[in-house]
Amino acid sequence: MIVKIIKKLGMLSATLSLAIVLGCWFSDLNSLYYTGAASFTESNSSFYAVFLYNRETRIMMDPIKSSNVESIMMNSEQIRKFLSQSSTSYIARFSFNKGLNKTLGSLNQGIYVLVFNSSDKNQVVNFQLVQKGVEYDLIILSIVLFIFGVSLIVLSSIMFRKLFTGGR
Amino acid sequence: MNKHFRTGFERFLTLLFREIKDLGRFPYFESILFILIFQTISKTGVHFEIWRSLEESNLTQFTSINYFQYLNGQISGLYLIIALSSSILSYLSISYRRDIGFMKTEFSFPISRIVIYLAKFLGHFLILFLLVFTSVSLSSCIRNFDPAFVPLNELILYLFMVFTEAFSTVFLVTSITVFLSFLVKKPILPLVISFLLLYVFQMISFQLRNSILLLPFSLGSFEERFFMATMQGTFSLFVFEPLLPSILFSLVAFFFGYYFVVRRMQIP
Repeated sequence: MIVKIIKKLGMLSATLSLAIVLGCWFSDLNSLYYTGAASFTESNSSFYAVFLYNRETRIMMDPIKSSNVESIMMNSEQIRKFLSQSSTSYIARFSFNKGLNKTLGSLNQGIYVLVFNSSDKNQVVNFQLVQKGVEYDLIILSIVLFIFGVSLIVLSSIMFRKLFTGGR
Repeated sequence: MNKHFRTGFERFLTLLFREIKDLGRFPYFESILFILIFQTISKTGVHFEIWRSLEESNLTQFTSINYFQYLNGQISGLYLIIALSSSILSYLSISYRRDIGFMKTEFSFPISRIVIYLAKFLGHFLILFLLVFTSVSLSSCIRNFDPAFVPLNELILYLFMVFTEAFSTVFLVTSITVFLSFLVKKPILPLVISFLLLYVFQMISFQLRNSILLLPFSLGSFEERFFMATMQGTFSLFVFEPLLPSILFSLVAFFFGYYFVVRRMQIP
């Protein structure tokens, strides 16, 4: 009975790993685009929240005027820290007065907030976040699951041989 | 009396476990799980919000909407896969056994037909429900996972929504496929007929979506009401109203199946 349960668990985790890899591959064939425009008519700061995946991320910003704009990008942990301790930490900080194109690399999956700050009320910043490439965290998860599943299947076959055939 | 009840219940449990064991074996269980996980995990949401200020409530609300957007339309998108899986499972559980002559042996045991019908129905239902619920909830957890921010309240609430949707969809599909498998004597015909019928059911529900709410298109209306109730914090039975016609339909199919197996079915 235990041997059968171990074998079943192994098969299930191997199946899960293959399904996750294939699903990720299909979803990673398309890039994700998040487009917005930050304006400062109501206040000096504007906030944009977005859920990003663990993929290569590129940010492009284009202010309509040449006045100075500052921008920071925070993850959910840094937002929590800011709300509880008022200490500002960020993963990226930009200061610009003309077009900007930066690659942020592979980010951790989660909620991110883009904060824009400008003293010019007529300023508007058009921006775009692009995510492309493979989600490495899910690939690693599926490799671990696959190794775990195959080990369980091998273990169950060894146990079966030892228990029922006396090791022959 | 108690002794009879206990032995009857024990027989039911034995039959149920045998059904679950038979339907959960390799490769059927793993293949359906593979297709469902692949289908659900390949969906990625694009969610974007403008905030007036940085606040804790904004963060919680954003996560809530993010979860909802991911789960929105997942079960209705899986409807045809669920229908096909159910047809295959009922073929394996009923039609195939009738074809190889094992059903005759099953019905010759000193077990009442009610017990056999209920064990077959429940075994089929539990396996399919487990597969659908596990795949959707697992994919939603993987896809929306943020290591620094996991709001359990939202997660449990939306998993309850998935639970209700999976329950109603699988109940409808199972009751129709099991009934047809008992009704039609030819081995492969129930598989084809039940899948076609469920496909037509989907088209009918699309055509009648403005007058009567039927599955799978009523799931959209249910999700909308559930989301509004979550945001306002006021839950009532009104939320579950879109699922009621389909549950009623499923109950009718279930009792038709029950009546046919217990009173009308002849085993040559």
